[in-house]
Amino acid sequence: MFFRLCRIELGKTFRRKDLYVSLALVLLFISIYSIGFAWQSWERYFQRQKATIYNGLKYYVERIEHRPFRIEDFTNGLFFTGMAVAFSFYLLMPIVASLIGGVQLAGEAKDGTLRAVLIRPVSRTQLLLAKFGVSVVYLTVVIAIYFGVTVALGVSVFGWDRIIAFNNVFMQVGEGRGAFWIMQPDDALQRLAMVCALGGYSMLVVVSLSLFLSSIFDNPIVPIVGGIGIYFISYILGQLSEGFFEHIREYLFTTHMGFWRSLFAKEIPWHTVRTDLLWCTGYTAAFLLAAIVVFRVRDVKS
Amino acid sequence: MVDALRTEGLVKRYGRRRVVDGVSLSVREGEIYGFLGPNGSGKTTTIRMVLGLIAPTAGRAELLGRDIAEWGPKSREGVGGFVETPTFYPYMSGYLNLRTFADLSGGASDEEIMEAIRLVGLLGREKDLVRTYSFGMKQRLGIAQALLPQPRLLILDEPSLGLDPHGMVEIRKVIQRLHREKGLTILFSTHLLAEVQMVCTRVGILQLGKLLFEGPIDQLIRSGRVYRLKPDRADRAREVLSGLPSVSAVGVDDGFLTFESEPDAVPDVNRALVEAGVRVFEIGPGAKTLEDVFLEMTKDAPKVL
Repeated sequence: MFFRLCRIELGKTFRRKDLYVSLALVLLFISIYSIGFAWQSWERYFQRQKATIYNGLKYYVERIEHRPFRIEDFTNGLFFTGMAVAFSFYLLMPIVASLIGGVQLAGEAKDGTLRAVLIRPVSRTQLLLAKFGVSVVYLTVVIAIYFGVTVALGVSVFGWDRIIAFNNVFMQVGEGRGAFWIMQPDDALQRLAMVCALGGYSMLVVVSLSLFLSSIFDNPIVPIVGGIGIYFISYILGQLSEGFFEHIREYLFTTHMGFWRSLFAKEIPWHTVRTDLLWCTGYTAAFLLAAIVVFRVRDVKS
Repeated sequence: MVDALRTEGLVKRYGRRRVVDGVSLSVREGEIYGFLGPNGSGKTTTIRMVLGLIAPTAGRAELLGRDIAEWGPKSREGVGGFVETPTFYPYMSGYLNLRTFADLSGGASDEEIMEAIRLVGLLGREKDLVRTYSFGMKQRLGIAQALLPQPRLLILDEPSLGLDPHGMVEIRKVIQRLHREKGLTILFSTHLLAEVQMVCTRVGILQLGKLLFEGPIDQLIRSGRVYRLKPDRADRAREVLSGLPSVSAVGVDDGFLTFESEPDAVPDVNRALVEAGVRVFEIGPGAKTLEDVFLEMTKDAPKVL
C-alpha cells in the first residue's frame, strides 16, 4: 500500500502547477544571476574585495606556473556554478524546500481533498511518509535540473577551466581567512555535484520542518512562511557569537546544514561531514516523528 | 444480520460543548437511511467520526461489523462516501480523479470506473478537467468516486446540497438506482424532508447532538396520531373535544378541526360528539407529513442562519 501511495502522490505532485513555481523560481535565479555574472567586473571585484587572494593567485600563476595571469581564466562556467550553488543552498533552496513540504498536507486540507483521501482505508502515517518521500523526489528533481542548467549555461557561456576555491564562500574548515587553492575542472565538477547532493540532503531538514507545520495548519501559507521563517531565525541566531548564542549554536539545525561547504576544502574533512550529516538526519527524523504524532491524532475538519 | 453501520453512545466534545451527545444509531444492510437534523445538530460531525476524520471523545462505532478504533483505516474497506461537498483535484480529469481515489482503496478496473461514470450520467465528460465541471457534475462525480471500488455501504453527507431542483431529482434517482441495481446500503444526511420521505426506508433525527428518533418513516409519521374532522358546529365540537381525556392538541387547519388521539379512541370521540348534538360529516387521519413531524420534533433547536 505504501508504494501505491507513493505512486499516487508522485502523480499528484507532478501534476500540480503551483509546485512548478519552485522550479520557475530557481530557473529565474539562474537567468538573473548569469546576467549579473557576465556584467560583473571580476578584475575589479577581486582587487577590491579579495585582494589577498588576487595577489596570491597572480603570484602563483606568474611566478610558479610561469603563465600570464588573467582573472577571467578562473571566473569561468564552473566558478559561475560554484557561486550560484553556494548562494542557493543558503537562501534559495530553503524557500523551495519549504514550499514543497508546506504544500503537501495543508494544501490538500485547504482544497478539501485531504478528507476525501482520509475517508479511504489509508493509514495516516503511511500517507505522511509517502508525502515526505515524494517531496524528496521532487526536491531531487529540482536540484538536478538546477545543477544541470547551471553547469550547461555556465560552461557554454563562460567556459570550462580551473577555478579558485576561497574562504567564506566555498570553504568552511581547515583554511584560514583569505586562503585559497586551485581546483582542476574535473575535480571541481565532481565536487559541485557532491555539493548539490549533500546540500539537497541538508534541505530535508527544512522539508520535514514545513511538513510538520503542514500537519498542523489547514492553510499552506502558514507552513511555507513558517518553515522559511524558522530557517532564517535559526540561521541568524547561529551567526550571533556572543554569550548565550554561543551555547545554543550547536543545537540550531542551520549550524549543521552548511556542511556541504566542506566539500570545497582541499582535504575534505569527512569526519565533520559525517557528524553534520547525522545531525541533519536526526533533525529530519525528529520533525517527521513530530509530524506523524500530530497528524495521527488530528481532527480533520476542513 | 450485522448492521452496516452502528454507533453506541458516540460523543464529540469541543471544550465544554457537546456537539454529538451519546448518539446510538444503526443502519441495517440493504436499507436507505435518512439522517435528518437542523443545521448544527451534529450530523456531519457524526459522519466525520464514523469515517475516521475526527476522533470520538467517547463511544464506539462499527462499519460493516468492524470497530473503527480497533480496525483503524481497514474499518473503512467496503465503505464509500463523501463529507460535505465532494472535493477533487481540479487539475485532473474526472476519470483520473476516480482512478486516483479508487487506487487509495485497492484499485478498480477501467470497466468499473466507466460503469460508475455511466451510473451517475457523466459519460462523455470523463476526460474533461474537473475544474470545468459544474457544481451538479461534481456532486455526481462525488457519488461515482464513492462507488469505487464496489462498496457495500455508502455514506453521503448532503448529496443534494446546493443543487437546483433538476439536480436534486437527478441525485435522488441515482441513489434509488444504486439501491435497486446494486443493493447498496446507503446513509445520507439531508435537509430535504420530501426527498427523505420519497427515498428512505428508515430515518434518524438528530437535534442538538442527540438522536431524537430512529425508525421507519411510517412509524414516525404515525407516531403523530393526528386526526381531523368536519363538524356542523365547530365551536361546540371543539368544546366537546377539549373535554375528552383521550384527546389532545385540538386545533383548526384549513376548515377542519384537528386533534391527536390513539387510533382506538377515535370511535369514542365520534360517539361523544354525536351525543353532544354535533353532526360529523367527515372524520379521518390528518395528513401529517414528515416535515410536520420533523419541525415539531426539532422546534427547540437554535436557529442557524
